[in-house]
Amino acid sequence: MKYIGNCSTAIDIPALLVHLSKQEPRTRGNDQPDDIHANPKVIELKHAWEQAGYDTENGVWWLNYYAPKDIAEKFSEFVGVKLLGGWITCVPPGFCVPWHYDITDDEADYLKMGQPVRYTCHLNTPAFGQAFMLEGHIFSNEEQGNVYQWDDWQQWHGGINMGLEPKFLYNFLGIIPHE
Amino acid sequence: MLYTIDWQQITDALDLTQGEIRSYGVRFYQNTDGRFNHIINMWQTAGYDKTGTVEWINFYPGKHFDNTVVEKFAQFTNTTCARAWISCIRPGKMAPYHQDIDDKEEEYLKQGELVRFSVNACNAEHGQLFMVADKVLYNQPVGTVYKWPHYLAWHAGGNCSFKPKFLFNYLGIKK
Repeated sequence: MKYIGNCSTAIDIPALLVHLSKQEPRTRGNDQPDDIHANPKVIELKHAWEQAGYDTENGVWWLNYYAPKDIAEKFSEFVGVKLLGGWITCVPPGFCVPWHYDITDDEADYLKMGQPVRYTCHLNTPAFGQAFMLEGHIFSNEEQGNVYQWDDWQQWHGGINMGLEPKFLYNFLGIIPHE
Repeated sequence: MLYTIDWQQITDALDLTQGEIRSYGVRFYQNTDGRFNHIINMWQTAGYDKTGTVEWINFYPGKHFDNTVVEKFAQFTNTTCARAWISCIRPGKMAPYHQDIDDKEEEYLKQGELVRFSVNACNAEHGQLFMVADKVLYNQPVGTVYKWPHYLAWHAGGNCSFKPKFLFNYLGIKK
């Protein structure tokens, strides 16, 4: 994990949060018809959650927002890596995103293109009870706009909100093309 | 003096079905005089009464584990034990932002200054965390002891891992 910097001067994060409040999010975590549940890795992960006691019918729940194109482009410029994909997660008070690694049906295509690089940006102002965990690191009370690059895009991670306000995280996937 | 407490062995021996569940609708805080009402109201405003994720399981000395653990810890901290318990948070559950309540608080305060400690009572697991005041405790070795800045400090604990999380909680009276 590497601290990249604070993108608040490059991106108007308060305006982005206002924009998100007008966007209809997608519910994630529970069974949804549009999810990638046929992926064997997802099936295996959900089985592991259930074995651990998670209520995957109701208790695993978060919201996804699309990152506006101009924000994704500014972020790509900020980190200096070509955009592959991005999304904004919101964990409301009382929910967690259980321990997992990112799974996509497009993995083979990504790897043909180059080396995926994963970043997270903390969109909230610090709020008690909110945390994002990336293997042995924990991020809490992070300054709004702080950006971190992961050691590996497939690292295990999770998030939790034990506070009183929603927790927002920008997830950015970039690609370093093969030479 | 050497104090040896095998926390992992103690919590490995606990049977989760024998502990006392604290959750909405299940012996949720012994709120006899309403002193916890402001926190319950705060949680409900944030939506916690509908999430189904607020839960911890308490274990008590003499009932669920040997009281000698508490006696050793009292010696270690040079305090008299006012209250001690082990709490377990299962995967996907949490104890949201709150202050502890104790109906006997005034009685304890008559005996002296109160000090609060926590001990990680299981091996560190990624995804398990505990917060007290402005500190975030994560990935700490089993047996790590923390003294709180104040016995009424705001705190929270949660578990996004694959294993139950155990914490030894101790309220002491300074000697």
